[in-house]
Amino acid sequence: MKRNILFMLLVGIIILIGSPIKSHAQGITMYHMYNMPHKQDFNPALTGDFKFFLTLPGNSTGIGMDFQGLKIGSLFEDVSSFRSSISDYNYINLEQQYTILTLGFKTGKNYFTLDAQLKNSLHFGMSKDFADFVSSGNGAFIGETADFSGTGFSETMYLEYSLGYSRTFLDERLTIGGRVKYLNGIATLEMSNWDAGIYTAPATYELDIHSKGDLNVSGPFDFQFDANNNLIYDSINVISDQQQLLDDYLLKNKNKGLGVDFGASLKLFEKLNVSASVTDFINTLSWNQNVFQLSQDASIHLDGVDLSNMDQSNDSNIFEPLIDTIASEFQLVSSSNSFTTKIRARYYLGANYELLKWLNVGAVVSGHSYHDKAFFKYTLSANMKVGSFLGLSVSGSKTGTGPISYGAGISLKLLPIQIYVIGENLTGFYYDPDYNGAPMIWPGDISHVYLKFGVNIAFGGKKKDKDDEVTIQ
Amino acid sequence: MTKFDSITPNSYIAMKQTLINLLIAGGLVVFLAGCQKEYQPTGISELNYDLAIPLGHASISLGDLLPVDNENILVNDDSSITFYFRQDSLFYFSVTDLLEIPAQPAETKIFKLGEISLENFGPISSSVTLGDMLTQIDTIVAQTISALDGMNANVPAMAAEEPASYDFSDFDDFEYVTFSEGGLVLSIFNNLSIDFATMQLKIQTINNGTPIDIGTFNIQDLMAGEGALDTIYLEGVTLYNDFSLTLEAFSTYATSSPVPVNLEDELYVGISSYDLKVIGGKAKLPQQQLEGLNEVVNFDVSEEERLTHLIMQSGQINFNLVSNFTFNFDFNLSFPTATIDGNPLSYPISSSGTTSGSFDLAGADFDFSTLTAQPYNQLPVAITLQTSGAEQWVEFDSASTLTLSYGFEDIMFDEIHGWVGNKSIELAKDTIPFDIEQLANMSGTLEFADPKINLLLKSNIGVPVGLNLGLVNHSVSGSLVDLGLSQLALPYPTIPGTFVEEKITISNANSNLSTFLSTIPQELFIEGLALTNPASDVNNPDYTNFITSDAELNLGIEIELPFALRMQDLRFRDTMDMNIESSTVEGFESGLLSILTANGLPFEIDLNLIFFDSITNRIVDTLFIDLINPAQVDGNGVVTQATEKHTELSLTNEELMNLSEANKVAIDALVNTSEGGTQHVVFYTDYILDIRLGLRVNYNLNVDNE
Repeated sequence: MKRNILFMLLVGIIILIGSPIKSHAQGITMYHMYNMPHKQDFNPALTGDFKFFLTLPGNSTGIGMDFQGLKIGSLFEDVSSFRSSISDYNYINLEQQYTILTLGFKTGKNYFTLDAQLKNSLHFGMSKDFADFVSSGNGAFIGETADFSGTGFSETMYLEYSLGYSRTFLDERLTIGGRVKYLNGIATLEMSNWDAGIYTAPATYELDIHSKGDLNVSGPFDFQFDANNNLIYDSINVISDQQQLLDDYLLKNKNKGLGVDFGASLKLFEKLNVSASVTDFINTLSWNQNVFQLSQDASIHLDGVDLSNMDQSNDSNIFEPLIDTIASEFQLVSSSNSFTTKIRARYYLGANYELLKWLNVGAVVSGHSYHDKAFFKYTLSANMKVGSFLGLSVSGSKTGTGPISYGAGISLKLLPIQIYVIGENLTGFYYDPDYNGAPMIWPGDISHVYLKFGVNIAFGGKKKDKDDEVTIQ
Repeated sequence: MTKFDSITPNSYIAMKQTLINLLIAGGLVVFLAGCQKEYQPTGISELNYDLAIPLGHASISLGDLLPVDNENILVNDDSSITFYFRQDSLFYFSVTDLLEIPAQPAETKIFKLGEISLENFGPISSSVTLGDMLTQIDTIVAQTISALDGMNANVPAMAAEEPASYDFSDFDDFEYVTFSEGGLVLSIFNNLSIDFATMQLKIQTINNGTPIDIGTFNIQDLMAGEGALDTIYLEGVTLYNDFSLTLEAFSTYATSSPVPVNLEDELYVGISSYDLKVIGGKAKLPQQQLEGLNEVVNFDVSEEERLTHLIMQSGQINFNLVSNFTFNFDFNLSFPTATIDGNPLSYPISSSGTTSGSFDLAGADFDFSTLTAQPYNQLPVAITLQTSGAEQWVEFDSASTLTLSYGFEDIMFDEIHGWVGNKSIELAKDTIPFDIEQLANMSGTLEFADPKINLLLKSNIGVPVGLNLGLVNHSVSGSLVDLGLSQLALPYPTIPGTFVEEKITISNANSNLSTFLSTIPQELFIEGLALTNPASDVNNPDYTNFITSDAELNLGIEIELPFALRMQDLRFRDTMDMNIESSTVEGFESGLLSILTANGLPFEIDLNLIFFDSITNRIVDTLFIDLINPAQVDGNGVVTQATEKHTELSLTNEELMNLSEANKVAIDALVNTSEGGTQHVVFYTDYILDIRLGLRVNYNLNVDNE
């Protein structure tokens, strides 16, 4: 029974590869949210809402995606706007967080957390030329090279086991926390160092395509290679043996890694609190099981169909030589060595001001780097609470190029059961009840979307102050 | 005191409630807003792509364009190209078209026997003794003289009182004959011892006991021991083989002195003959030559041929002899100027009467030229006739005849010489249609620089032949272009049994071949006329012609067209169906076909495309494409450098939509070689046309419809 459950879980996860997944580092709305124990995901020092909380398996899930440099929604509204939104660096992040078990408890000045999560991170980055090429064709690149360098795809699925600890200092004005993570990789597919481009010759429009890069793969896959060590595409199989999947990918495998989160929170003044953290710091995963390192270094000159042989060909096979050439040139060659992947670190700097005992406003600057360039998100939020019964947050976030992303969160707690929903920029989706006779959800002009929901068992929250009383009409 | 100090608890509570309400309401609005928003996406349906792709490329050598396995296209060692066509037999004629020996009329010759020679017979003789004579004289005198027998005594004169006859000795040369010529010689010799004063003798031939006088001879003074001669001419005389002598009278002189008297002493009478020719009778004919024949017969020909020599391959002389000769004879038919196997051509016939037969003439060699006056077609004939073998005892008549009929039949010659005349032989007359639709759609000039048509002659006919070859190009434009070929003198052998094999070249030097080939044909009219002995006629014949039995003249044709040519305004027109659906092109904002060529071919091509609706004949659009420019060539027309050209063919959406209204496209391709088609260029298989096609389209991708 246990095996079947685990197997179904794994298959489901594998199917979810490529699905929209929320980053665990997203949901910035809840950074300053009252009664939200999961904000410790952003900063291990942000604890203390409950003396104890417990999230049981399956009771917390987060999905989300980020767009950098692309107004994906405008693709369906105004193509020229979409094209103009393409910047030098463009990517789509799809991330998923699935909580297996999370608990936290407080003893004195100390707060301990234990966390087990299944995480999946999918990243698709595009150079400006690549995005332009795909969205508009190569007409703008005649006589030039469309540089695809920086375009890449990666996806990593791993189990993260963490042990967190924080302690208050200075009469609880300062909290310092950290978290140590043990990472157990399940599968990864990562393009790296991809240098590619297409040169379109003037007059003849002949194409010179070059592609050089590596593709690191590890997971329940089985690849076959020919005598020249070239990948046989037809041979790619997903291992379907349940026992092998359990043994090699869920219970134990050789893909291991460590990571560290740390942060601090400081009440500067009576009502002003500042915090800073780094998550996924030095997170690395060493992949050692079922490893396939595929590399490619190919270039090809495409000059169309060889019309000289038209009289010897029929319509069905005049393209065969061209296809054969491409297939033979762009072979993936294997070198089965272990490799390491990194999980991108994120940085948070927050401040909130308590207007009232039950209301604060906050600001967060979160950032990460991509292609040696820092990307920041600026978030303002207002957060209120009614004791430990209710927590509400609204936020507005802005990235460098994207529009303002609005978010809201709510948590309700009845006795020890707390439910919560965090949504960011869900208005970016548009629902068309009758699109060509069928309902359709279109992505809007968004750069970010996030949804997190879950159920916690929590108790030991702060007692309601008189000042906290509010009447909801 | 803060500004909040002035707030009363109630107002504070109210403010908090209001703020809470706003926060909740705002949060819910933010959270839920948009999830039920009406939204009509439009941009995706107009996704515009500007794509530039290489359509294809080709590096086409001229050799690639040549039809595969076409035996008419030859690639020479230097990779130049030649169109080559060969037909082994275009015209053919043989001996039967040139000469036919007609059946020769039979010759009939009548030979009359006429006078024939007869061997001289005799001499035959008769003698009269003295004692015989005493029986003719007076008895007393006779007794007196009889008494003197054996003595020397004087003998008295005697005179016959009555005639007495005596026989001649026998002979069997004939039973009777009538002479046409010849004579008898009568010889008398006096062996008595007395002298005759007179003597009368009569010679008679006896026909069944009936004497027929031949002649009477009177002799004077025939002295003892002396003789006398006399002659009888026999022309018209018939003699039998029995003669008698009658001593009609005589008288003697008395001796003047004693003489020996012997009653057995004789008077000798002999008859001999000379130069006997007879015209009838029954005789023993000696072998002799009869009157024959030497003549010249005309050897008939079918037309005006003049034969000087003829060697028979086969044939025969048939003869028929009708004879009423009563004796065996030997007949000989000969042709004095003919031989067979080196021997005179002579045919002997031995016969005793009517006979017929034939003689084989295979291998016979006739010379018809021995007569100076007419040194052709004349055949001397000699016929001899003789009695055959030993003496024949026959009855004959000089009026009897022998009729000879003979003639040449089934004559097949092996070889003839002479002059075969001025003959016209129609070799061929034909019309060759060119039912090639493409040719009907072509116009302009295509001129070969050095075209050659070789006529492949193989002949063993020893006759000068002039060939009038007529080729007329009925062009697609309706004009007639004559090859303008002057009469060709065909070589011929000078030695019988040998062939001449030669190429006779038709080129620009002896015709307007280039002009002829430069015209696109609808059909070709072809005719051939062979004229024998074009340089001689009946008044000035050339007797050096010869024809053998296997004579033939075969004229093949070999067309050699080196691909060194010029094309000027050479147009190819064609119309093709087309069907471009408007739905196919409506998504295209524009299209641009980019054509980059490096032309190593020494000609240019311009295309003019006319798109039209065949139902309404409305031209919906035209398109001109300056496709390729000619490669650079040197003075010899050899390509020295390829010419690069970039052509862009741009079509807007409106033009593309226009094309969708057309169901036909008329293609007008204009081809010119270098220098506007004025320069001849040479084609080599390694000339290369490098062409690269690129297509740039601006396409509105209608995702909704997709």
